[in-house]
Amino acid sequence: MNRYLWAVRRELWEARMTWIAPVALGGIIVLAVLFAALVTRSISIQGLDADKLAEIHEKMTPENIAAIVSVVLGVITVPFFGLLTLVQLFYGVDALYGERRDRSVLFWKSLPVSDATTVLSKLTVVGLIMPAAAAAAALVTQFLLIAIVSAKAAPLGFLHSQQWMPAIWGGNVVVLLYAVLTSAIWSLPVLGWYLLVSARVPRSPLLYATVLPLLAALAEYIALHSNVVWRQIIVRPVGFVAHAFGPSSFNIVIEKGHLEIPRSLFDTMRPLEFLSSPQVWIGVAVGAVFVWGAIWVRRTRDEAA
Amino acid sequence: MATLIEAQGLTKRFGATTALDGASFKVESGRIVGLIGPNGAGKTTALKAVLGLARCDGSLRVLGLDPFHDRDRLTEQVSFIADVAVLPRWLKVSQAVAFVEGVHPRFRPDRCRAFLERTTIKSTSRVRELSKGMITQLHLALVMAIDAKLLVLDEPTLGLDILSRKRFYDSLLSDYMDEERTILVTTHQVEEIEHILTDLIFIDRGRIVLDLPMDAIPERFAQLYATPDRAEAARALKPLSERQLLGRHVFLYENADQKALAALGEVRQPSIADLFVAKVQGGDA
Repeated sequence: MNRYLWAVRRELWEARMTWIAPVALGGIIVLAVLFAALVTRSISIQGLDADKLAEIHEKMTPENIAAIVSVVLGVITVPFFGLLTLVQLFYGVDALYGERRDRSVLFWKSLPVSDATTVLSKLTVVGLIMPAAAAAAALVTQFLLIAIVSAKAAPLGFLHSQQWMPAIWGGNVVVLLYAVLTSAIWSLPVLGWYLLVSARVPRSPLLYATVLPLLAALAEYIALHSNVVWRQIIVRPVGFVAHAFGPSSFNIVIEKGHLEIPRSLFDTMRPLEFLSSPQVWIGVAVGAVFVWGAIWVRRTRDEAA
Repeated sequence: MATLIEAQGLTKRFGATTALDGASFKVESGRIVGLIGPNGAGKTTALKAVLGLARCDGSLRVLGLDPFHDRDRLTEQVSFIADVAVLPRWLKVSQAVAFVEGVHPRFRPDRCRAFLERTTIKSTSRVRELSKGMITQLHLALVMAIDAKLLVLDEPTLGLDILSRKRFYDSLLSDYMDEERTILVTTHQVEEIEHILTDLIFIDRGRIVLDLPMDAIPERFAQLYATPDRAEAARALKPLSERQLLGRHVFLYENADQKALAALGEVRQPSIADLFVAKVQGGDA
């Protein structure tokens, strides 16, 4: 266990993009919004000016506001999970390839850290720590953005303090944690695939990791006229949202004073449906095979040959 | 004296090429064994088999373990330096020490730090900022602080200048080696390790062609420097090899009657390089 934790720490020393990427994204978003808040003088949403908005605002219950804020918070996390997908790709395909390229694998293998421990530590970083870092950066960004918006909205007479209700933020943290866990489970086959490619291919792991699935999809279409692989290529990288969260209108529709209030994101979580979805568990099984393959390849390949 | 490594009929093929062809050898504890052979002779493959990095046919026991199968247990007792290029460039010196301390139960960080303090290596430096000689010293500092029963060195001084190479072996002898430890080393620079070896193994085309303790060389091998008029008589004694040097004929004999040789000219003890040339056909080392 201790060696596993050291192996994870070692990964974090090397892969500093784990935290640099989400922090940089959060910084950019906060600065952009801060700049926008400083230069804009009036607020209007869908053609409704501040007075009209205040009028709508008066009609809303605290629950309505909480729901809207929670959806806004959810929207803020989207770019973080989008960036996460990219960071995972670049880290994953290099995780077991970089050490072969610079031959440092011979140093790591001279120490009593097993191949399974090494590969699982890399999987932990890419599958859990990177999503957690994305969620943490998203949380800080949400906080700063709501603070900026509150400061901007206060003189206009709406958003008094409902946006800081503990229930919103408590629910929001639960949603983020839930997103971290579901994305980890959902993306296991993708991450396992990256690791396997990274352990095996002679060069250009990024190319192999991306082109091989496309070729497989093409071959499947030509041979069987089906598109199972293709659908997985589309749905695996980001599809966990559709499986982990229930169908819900995330839209805030404001028409002539009529409001369609979304449900709070908290209410859209579908843990039982997620955990009972065959898609999820087939993915986990395939991912486990890929990870096992990566361990086996690292264990048995002859570095000099 | 315990046997650390026992290899019987070690064989490894990569497609059509045979890297190891039934190699058998033993390494006893407390020895410094040089595994010498030309390029492609199977040295590295043999070391990889010993380290459990490659699977081979035949029987192989290292510290009583099957190195490939029990590699995770073996790595606690066997240290390994491949060559100077294998420390990752992003790694900080302090991180390297902390990591090895964290994962290796036999690592003694105080010893490592004491060794590093005698060098110019700063603990805040990254490997990429160090010279090749400094990287070797760092690697050596890490490895020497591990209480390992067996240390395997594969061309550890490749690409280093002569001062760094000398410093490497001096440190190894004065700070590391004792009767508890065993070193198995391969190198091209035979002359440099000649004086530190206790045993010699020649490997050629995957086969062991010579395996003996260094102190057995004088009685088993002799080199005769004879004038041309004695050359016929010298050839009659069946030398392993013959060459000409500064107008004299130089013959190398195995198990020859040294008195008979002395009658024909000057008899000297051959160097490892002389033996190598005589015993190894593929020799381009």
